[in-house]
Amino acid sequence: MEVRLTGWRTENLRGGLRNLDIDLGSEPDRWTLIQMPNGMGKTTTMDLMRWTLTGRELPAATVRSLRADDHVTKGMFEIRLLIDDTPIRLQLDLDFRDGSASYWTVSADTRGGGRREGRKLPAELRELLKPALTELFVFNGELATQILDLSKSKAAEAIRSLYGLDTLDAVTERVDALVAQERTRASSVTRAVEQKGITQLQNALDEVKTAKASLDKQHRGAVTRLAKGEKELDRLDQEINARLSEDAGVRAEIELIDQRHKEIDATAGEFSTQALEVLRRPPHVHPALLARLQNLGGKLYELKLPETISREFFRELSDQKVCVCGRPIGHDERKAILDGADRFLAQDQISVINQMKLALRESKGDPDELNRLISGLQDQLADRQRLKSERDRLTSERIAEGDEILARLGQDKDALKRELDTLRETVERLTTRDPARQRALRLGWETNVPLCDAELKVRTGRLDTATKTRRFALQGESLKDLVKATSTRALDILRARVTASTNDKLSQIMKTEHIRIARIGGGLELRSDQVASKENASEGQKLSIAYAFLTSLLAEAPYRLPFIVDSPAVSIDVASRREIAQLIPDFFGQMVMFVISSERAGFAESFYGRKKDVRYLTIMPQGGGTADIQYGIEAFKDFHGPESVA
Amino acid sequence: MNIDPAITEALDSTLAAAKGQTDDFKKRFRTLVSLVLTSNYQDADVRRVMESLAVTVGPED
Repeated sequence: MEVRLTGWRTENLRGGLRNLDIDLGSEPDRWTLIQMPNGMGKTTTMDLMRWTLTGRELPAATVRSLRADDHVTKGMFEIRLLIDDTPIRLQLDLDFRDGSASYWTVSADTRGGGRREGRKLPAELRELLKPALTELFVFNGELATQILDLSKSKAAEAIRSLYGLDTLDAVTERVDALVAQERTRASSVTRAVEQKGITQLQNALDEVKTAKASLDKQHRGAVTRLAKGEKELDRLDQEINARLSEDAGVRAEIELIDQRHKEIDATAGEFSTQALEVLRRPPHVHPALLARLQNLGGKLYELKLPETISREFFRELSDQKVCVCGRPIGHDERKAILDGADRFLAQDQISVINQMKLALRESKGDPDELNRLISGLQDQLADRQRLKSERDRLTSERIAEGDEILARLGQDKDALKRELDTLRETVERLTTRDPARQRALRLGWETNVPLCDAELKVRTGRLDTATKTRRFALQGESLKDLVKATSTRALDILRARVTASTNDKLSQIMKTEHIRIARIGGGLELRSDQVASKENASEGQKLSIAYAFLTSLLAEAPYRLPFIVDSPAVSIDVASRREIAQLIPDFFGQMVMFVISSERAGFAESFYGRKKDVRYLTIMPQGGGTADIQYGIEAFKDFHGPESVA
Repeated sequence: MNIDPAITEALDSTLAAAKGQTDDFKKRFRTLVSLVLTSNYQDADVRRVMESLAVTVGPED
């Protein structure tokens, strides 16, 4: 990507910037020298360029300080660029009344005049144009000292900014945001997303698993014992019967009881079957239910016919000469039949509703039938209980007569029944799914298998969520480490590359004292042939080193940027100026240099020999904040201005 | 945009030292770096690379 500067424009700004329009041409020359006296707004112009390129927020006091005079309420700065040969204008609108500033972009490829609020630059360029980098190519002469200052980090910042390493580091912020989102999402399930919390969740899950295993074991044991106990009970009953049957009289009574027992069971079975059948027919269950069903059938919509098969009926009827009621069908009747048919037609599914409606309306039943059946069933159960009492009486009488064997069998049976009752209670406690029974029995996951299964599911879910979140967080940390390692390693490689390139240039500039860059830390660490650590350099040497560094940095960068520099040679001697003027220009695709008249000697005059690709502008004040712009080398050479730096 | 050789070299060095990571992750990581350098990435790109990173959820220290 290549960025070139084609001009800038000011309106109602202080100094000589009341109404200035600098045009560098639609195809700007490679080198532009702009000569203007102090007080014309060089420094302000450089600031405005940096702010507009970076989109910096401006304090109200700064905005108001730019005001040309009290008569103007608004001002504007515009910088014109070619980005890969596409023209684009960035504008800074200033409102001096409220101290506000807003940025705008004008591009030819947008509708409605192409003016949109904001810095609408290509994404990678927008990211690139940060203050740390912009200060390097819209160059502040004071930065030369800062680049060399080890206590500051300008040099490293410049490399990081230019090669996008700072953008790479921004990934860590995105990772943190993603992990935070994941934690927020997981917090609805569990607050444990750190390893300690996960261990606690694992322990909690293990606790439930242990309880579940214990409950399953208890259940299996109870069921097995219950099955054995019931067989044992049958065996005891048989032994008791056999013992009782040894007496012929008792045996006859028992046979009668057994016979009666079978009859009762058969009758009770019939009542049960009939009762279940009645329960399947709601009109028979209760008089109130029957009344409500019939009421519902009456309230359903008026009977309608399915449209597909019934419309034809009306059509055929209208074609008849006589109606089904015997009345003749004329033109009016025919029209009435066809027009009125829709009132009786509905979607085809209506036939199902019709059937339901008829069935409901005609609901019939004997609502007392169920009561009779239940009453009969209760009688059978009472008879059965009486038979049982009769059998017990026979056993008791024999025991009272001294039958010890029968007494022992009876005791064994009673003990076994108590044990079986306890086992059945245990099985119910272990297996009931009825929430009401679970509450009544005060059951929890520690004592009830279904509740334990539910708790197991909940705790498994919590652990899974926490583990997944923890894993995600660890993945984030690892990714951040890898990004940081890549960024650090890339910076080291780039530092070495820029150091070598800078030293190559310094070897051409520094003829008297061979100063070199030892390493790029935060700033530039210097050495010379004489000393390993060169801490003091002259202003000229500092500027030379800074240019060598900047040209190395910008010339090899992935983006080609214009180099705009204020007073590029004012602090160095004439001999060094000539060397710098010979060396620097070829490193940049475009250079725009603000010079004062004293810099012509040695520096600006070195460009006079270049026959093409050089543009000269001379800006002279005309009073009242206005200026006159002279293009060409003659006006440039003839200009005489103050010799001090702005 | 072509990645600067310095960054490619740094990537090679970093990924060579990243033991236990799959080729799929390494490929995704390179792509992510390329997207980030051109400011052309979204959270979903970062998430995908994160999720392809092999980590061990170890026992408590």
